[in-house]
Amino acid sequence: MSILELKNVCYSYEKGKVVLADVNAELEKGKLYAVLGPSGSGKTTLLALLGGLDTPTQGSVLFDGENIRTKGLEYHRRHHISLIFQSYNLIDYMTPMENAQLTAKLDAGPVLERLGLARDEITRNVLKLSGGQQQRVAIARALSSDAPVILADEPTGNLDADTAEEITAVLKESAHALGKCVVVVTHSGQVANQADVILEIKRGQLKEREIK
Amino acid sequence: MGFVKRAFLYVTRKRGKSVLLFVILLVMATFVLTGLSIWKASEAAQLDLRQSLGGKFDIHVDWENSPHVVKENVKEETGGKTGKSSTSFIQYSTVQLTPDNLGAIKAVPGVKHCSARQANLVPFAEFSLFPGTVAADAKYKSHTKVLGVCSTEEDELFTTGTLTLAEGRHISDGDSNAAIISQDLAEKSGLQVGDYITTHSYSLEDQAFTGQEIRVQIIGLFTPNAVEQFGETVTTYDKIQNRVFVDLQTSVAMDGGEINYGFSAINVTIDDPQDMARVVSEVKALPGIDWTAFTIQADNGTYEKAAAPLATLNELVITLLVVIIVVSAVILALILTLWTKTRIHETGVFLSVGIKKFAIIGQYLIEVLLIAVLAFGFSYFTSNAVAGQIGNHLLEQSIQTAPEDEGDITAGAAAVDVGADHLIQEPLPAEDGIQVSVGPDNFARLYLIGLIIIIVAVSTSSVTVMRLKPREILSKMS
Repeated sequence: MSILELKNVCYSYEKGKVVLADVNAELEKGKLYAVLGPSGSGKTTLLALLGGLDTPTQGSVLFDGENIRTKGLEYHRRHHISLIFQSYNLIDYMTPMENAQLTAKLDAGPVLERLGLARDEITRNVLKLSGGQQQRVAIARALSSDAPVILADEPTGNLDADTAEEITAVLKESAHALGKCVVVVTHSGQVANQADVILEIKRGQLKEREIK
Repeated sequence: MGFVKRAFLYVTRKRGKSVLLFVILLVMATFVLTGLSIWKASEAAQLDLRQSLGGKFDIHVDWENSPHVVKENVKEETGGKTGKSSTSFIQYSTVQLTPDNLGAIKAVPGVKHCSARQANLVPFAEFSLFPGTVAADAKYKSHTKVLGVCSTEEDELFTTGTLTLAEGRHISDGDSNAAIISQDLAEKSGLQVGDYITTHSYSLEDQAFTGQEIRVQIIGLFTPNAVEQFGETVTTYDKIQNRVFVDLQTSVAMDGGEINYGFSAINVTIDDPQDMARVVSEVKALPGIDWTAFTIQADNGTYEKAAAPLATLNELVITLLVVIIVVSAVILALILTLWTKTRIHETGVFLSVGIKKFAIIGQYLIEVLLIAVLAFGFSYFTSNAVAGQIGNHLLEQSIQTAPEDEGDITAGAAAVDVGADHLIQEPLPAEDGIQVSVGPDNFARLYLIGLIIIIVAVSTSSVTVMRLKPREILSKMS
């Protein structure tokens, strides 16, 4: 059964440019989705609509069969989804532990340890960590919030190949081992190869392709 | 993580910004608290001034318009050498103010003191008078001024502190054949409390105090706190050390005739000069005073002169306070707006993880308040250090710029004219400056004003960011 659903979703800018036209999709728990498409095709817009950061001009986004606007977009962002960004978006005056605890429902300490951060690393200034470590903190924040859906926008975009592979593995594990619905917007073939489902956006249309 | 904890983390980790904000808030609070303290001190000084100076008015015979005024020729004299003749006359009112009138006026709310006097120049056999600095008419050489009063305690010379009772007791209602003289005169004349002094009633026929003998007992001695200055002209009978107070009955008896049975004037001091109009109207409504015979002359001049610099200071401080509050709010809002724009990344992250907008604004507000609590606390010391100096500097400026000739006010003491006695001296509160202190009530006001300024500034600074949709903020972030 789908946890997140796009139903006849259209999105266009005020100037009239259509980004998404009558898009339908059903996203399930326990799967890693890779959203592909050329630049400006609407990948980030799709992620923003799924995450309740923006609203479709037509159609609706459903969570567990209910329109996300019913309980409010803030509620949706707080309880249903976790966002991971390319630039990590960590709070610079907080330690990794405090960042992970920002909206945590789970104990953030074990999550950070499982993601490979040492005890002394989780209490130092977050900006003193490497890019890969910072992205792990961002993933720990997402996992600690215990949201069933993780939305990631180019999470490996700023990382070297080895670190990107590790991060992709963590995301895949989150989907398969923790039963999360993980949606990753990416240009990376490496990430796409690890996905269970490819969602490709072209000229406002969404095509779904399951990887066997 | 709650917004209070986030605020605490921000304030403790972003030390540079926190210190800068602390300094800004400390300066702002020092100005506001100083302004409030000066304002309060100025208000207190005005109240103190009103209470210490009081207002004054006299009820006296309307010599020009009263139908009860009688003018009689007394005697025609021929000069021995010149052969010229001169005419003397007496002028009096057949309607006079009585001790009952005095009592009724005293009972009017707001009346502080109420006194009346009969004055006679009388010789006493036992006195060895202090000589004056100017020669008087030969026939008054052994005379001194005798004031007939209902109560010396209520007399202006005592209420203003010009004279102090040093020994014995005051003359009060019901006393007869009682007198109070100066301690100096008593010593010079070998007299003490309990002794009797002797004079005679006035004889219209002899034009002298040659009538019935009157014996008066000394019941008290006074000491003057001010005497005539060197070079000041004063007759023997007008010298303050020669002054004699007697009860009204004795004074009437000394007068001899049946002309004076009461007073031709009553002097009234009120608690608050601002109450002058009300008290005067209530006195005018009293029964038993024939207003065709009397008129009221109000004197608020001393108060108005003394209060002018304080009123100017008050206006100045209020204006300054308004300017300080507005400027503080604007400066704080501008600084916080700039800082909020630099925190757009953080705001976007908070919104993306589902933290409510009001919780984000709440965090920003708590951050400023945490620093403000410290800064406002420190401002107690900084304000205490500068408030007194600034307050008195502003007061000096107010004195210089006040419209009236307030130069007299700072000259140590102001002389209050009371007819012939120019000795009544009353220190004015403004002359020593104002006592500015930072009290708990001003402190509470500072926190209230500060809270309002901070709420306005934080709300204004947050508006631009909070109007944006989360996605717009996130796109600005990238």
